[in-house]
Amino acid sequence: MSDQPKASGANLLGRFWGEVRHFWKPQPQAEFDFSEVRAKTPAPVFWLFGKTQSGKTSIIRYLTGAEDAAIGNGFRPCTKTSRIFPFPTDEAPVLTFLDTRGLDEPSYDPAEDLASFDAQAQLMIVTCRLRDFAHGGLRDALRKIRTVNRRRPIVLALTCLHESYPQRQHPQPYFEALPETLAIIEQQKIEFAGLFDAVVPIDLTKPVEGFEDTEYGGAALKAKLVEMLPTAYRETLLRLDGMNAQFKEQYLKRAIPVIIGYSTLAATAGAIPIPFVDLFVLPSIQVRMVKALADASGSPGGEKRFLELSASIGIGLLARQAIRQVAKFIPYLGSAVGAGLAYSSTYALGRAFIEYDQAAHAGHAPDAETVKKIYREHVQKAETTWAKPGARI
Amino acid sequence: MPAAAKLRIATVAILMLAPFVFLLGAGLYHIWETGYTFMAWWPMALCFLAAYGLAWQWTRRKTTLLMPKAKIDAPNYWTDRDREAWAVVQVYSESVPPLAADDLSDMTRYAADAKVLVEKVAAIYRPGAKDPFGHLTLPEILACGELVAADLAELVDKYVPGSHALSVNNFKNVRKAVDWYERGRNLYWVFSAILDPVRAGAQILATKAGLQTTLKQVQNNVLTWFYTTYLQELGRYLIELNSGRLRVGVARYRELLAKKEAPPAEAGAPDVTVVPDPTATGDRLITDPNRITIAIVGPVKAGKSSLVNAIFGEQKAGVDAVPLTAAATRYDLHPVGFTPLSLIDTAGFGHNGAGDADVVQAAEVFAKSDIALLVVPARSAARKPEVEFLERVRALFAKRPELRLPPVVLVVTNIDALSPAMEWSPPYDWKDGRRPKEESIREAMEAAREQFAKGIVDAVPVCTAHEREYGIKDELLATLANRLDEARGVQFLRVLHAEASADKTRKVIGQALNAGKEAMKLLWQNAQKPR
Repeated sequence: MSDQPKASGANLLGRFWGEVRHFWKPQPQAEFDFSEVRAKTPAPVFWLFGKTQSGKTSIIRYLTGAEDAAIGNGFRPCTKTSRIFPFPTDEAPVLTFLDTRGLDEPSYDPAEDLASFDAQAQLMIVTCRLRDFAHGGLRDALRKIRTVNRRRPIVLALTCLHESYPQRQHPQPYFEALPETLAIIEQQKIEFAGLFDAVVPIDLTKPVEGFEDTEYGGAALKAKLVEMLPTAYRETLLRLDGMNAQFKEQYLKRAIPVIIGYSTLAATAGAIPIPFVDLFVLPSIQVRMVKALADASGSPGGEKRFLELSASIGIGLLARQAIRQVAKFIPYLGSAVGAGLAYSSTYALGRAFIEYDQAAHAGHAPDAETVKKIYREHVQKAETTWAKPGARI
Repeated sequence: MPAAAKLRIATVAILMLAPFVFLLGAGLYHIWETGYTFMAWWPMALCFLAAYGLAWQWTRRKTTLLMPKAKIDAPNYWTDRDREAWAVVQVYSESVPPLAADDLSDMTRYAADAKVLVEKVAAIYRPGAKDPFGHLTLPEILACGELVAADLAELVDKYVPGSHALSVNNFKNVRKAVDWYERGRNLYWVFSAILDPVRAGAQILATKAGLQTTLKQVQNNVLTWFYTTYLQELGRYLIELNSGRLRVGVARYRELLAKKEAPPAEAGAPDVTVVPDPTATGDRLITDPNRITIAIVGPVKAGKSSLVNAIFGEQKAGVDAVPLTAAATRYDLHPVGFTPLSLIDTAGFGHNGAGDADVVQAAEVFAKSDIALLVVPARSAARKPEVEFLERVRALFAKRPELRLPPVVLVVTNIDALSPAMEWSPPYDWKDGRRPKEESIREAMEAAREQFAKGIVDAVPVCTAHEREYGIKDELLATLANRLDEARGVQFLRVLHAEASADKTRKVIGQALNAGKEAMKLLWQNAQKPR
């Protein structure tokens, strides 16, 4: 009992010293526990609830822009009857999908999933093939979940609409549905009465299926999700979406979510109104981001030279450290400024690395001035999106 | 036969045979006299050798007999329990010690072995029961005896030449004839030894080693075949007896069996009647052995009613976007060139969760059907509820071991929705084709087969959408036709048991009435007689 405070005090001192050392000499493989920061980060967690092949993967594909293989590989087991897909990285996810797989078992009991997901998930997406009426078991489980937390919104996504009008194109514009389709939708609404807050009929198909509109109802679903998410989470989703929409290049499509993930994480860390915490945490987040980007672009280890360069020219967080710390001492205002700055500097650093990496791949690594210029450009753009999520920059 | 007659017959026979005997002796003497003995001996020796070789070959193993294999094939309608009992019967029938000719007429031997067999079979159907006949009725037991006797008579008539004229004494005399043959031959040895001692010595050795034992073997062979067949026939009908299938009486049993074996009914005009609620009209049709009843089960909205429509080729069932089938609907039809069919369209399960009521209901329908179609949509990969449904139905059936579970044919519907969804240009060669749709269908069928494994006997992909019907007329009906034999077996058991339990009371009353009628008739006739 008497030794306890002393021991933890020494521990704290040790950790502090470790962080200081870290700060002076950032290591690419620096170990830092982000879980606390991550828990506070407003990265939406969607609880997908539906039978196998009811269109869950299509929704993930649509919302993230990731490929099927990446989604398949990204999933890892969570509870006995569920799995989790943090997108794009496990460390700094922008969107997280929880997939209940046990629903195909007639004896599925949602108790375990409830215990582990209830606190995490802000929104449930129930997927149901339009013409599938064998949902008794699913509804029983859903009812239990709904009883525990009535405030979490449930969006009922009615999928595979084309099964109600086989071998015909989707009626345009959305949602000029055929009478028989509308009748089944009404029937499903009655079946699920009291178990959802919004219904969105969608049909997200792969090009091979032969539909002209492969994202039929996708925009409506996204709008509904944005509308139903809590404010902070809504902004994260919008930011990702705004960015995703802008780029066609594959390498950017892969990298941007990673950057947004780490930038959002940095923003959360930056918003913590305790001085010096972010002093250690933020550089570590940025180093991790650059490493993750290098891994994703297929040049692991390629981040080393860039980190040395950015440390020497003072881009990233090092340059503005002092200002941020001062700002933070002013309550409320301080944290907001801290979050925005942490976000934009992390974002810009990520973008600078990508340009650097692309050029390096092409055989001519840009010089310090160019890197600095790119960085400043993106800081400004990022500040805009921070203020107006979803804005195009 | 009077002794005088015997003497006369013997005299005639001897007189008729005497010239031949003389010729035999004279011929032998001539051969010896002319010195051709050596040359004549060889063909004769070769004949003996060939006879010996063949006889040895045909009797080498107990199973490859001169007589057909004493093995009755298990009827295809037998349940697992029947097959278990059959295995016991076969082991026992093959383990009986070889029979001597004298035993054949020994009735105690038959009775003793029959008793053992009765107990062995009864132990499977009534484990632990003290009296193996306790639960059976007298007519049943008599029916069993009658059937065994009739079958055995038919078999012997078919396989034993001249059996219609053979008496048990004849069988004994055959053995005596063998003895006489030996005696006569010994006499021949004595003579030939005098004439040619060296050669005769060699002949004696050869014959003693081979032919004599071979002859005995052939004889034993026939006897063992007869006895084993007797035991197997007995075992077979003991199985029928114990499983309660003889309760309908010999005549009806034979009649139903004949219907089961009959070829599909001749082509009739399509005749369709719809019975909306089979529970209201009772189960009259269920015992109609001329009809094959098909249960259509599956999750709600899987396309069961559409399948019925597609089979009818016209809009009969209420196919709508909402689940309409409340309980079960029966449709009777007589497709051209096919057996009359009854389709029972059941309510889908899974609408309100995997409730027990769904399963019990489906099991009820199963018990009234000869073949079952499990309908699942192609696009749904979540088949766990359906697989479990089948398992539970099977478990319920296990409680009624006297019945057979109808063969389950998986019908994968809505194949038009498979990838690429926009395309629909049949015909599709889904087994070997290379088009994307064909590959999708193949994948879906393989996945389904894997999921249901042994629960299903066949899987057929179909499209039941109006005016896009595919796979119904050709593939599904062909599959059903292939399973018709099995279905008839299921039906045979079902009808037998249904009739036996339904007729029990009616029969008692009928017998009482008949007895009364006979008594009245006698009285009337007596009264009519002029005195």
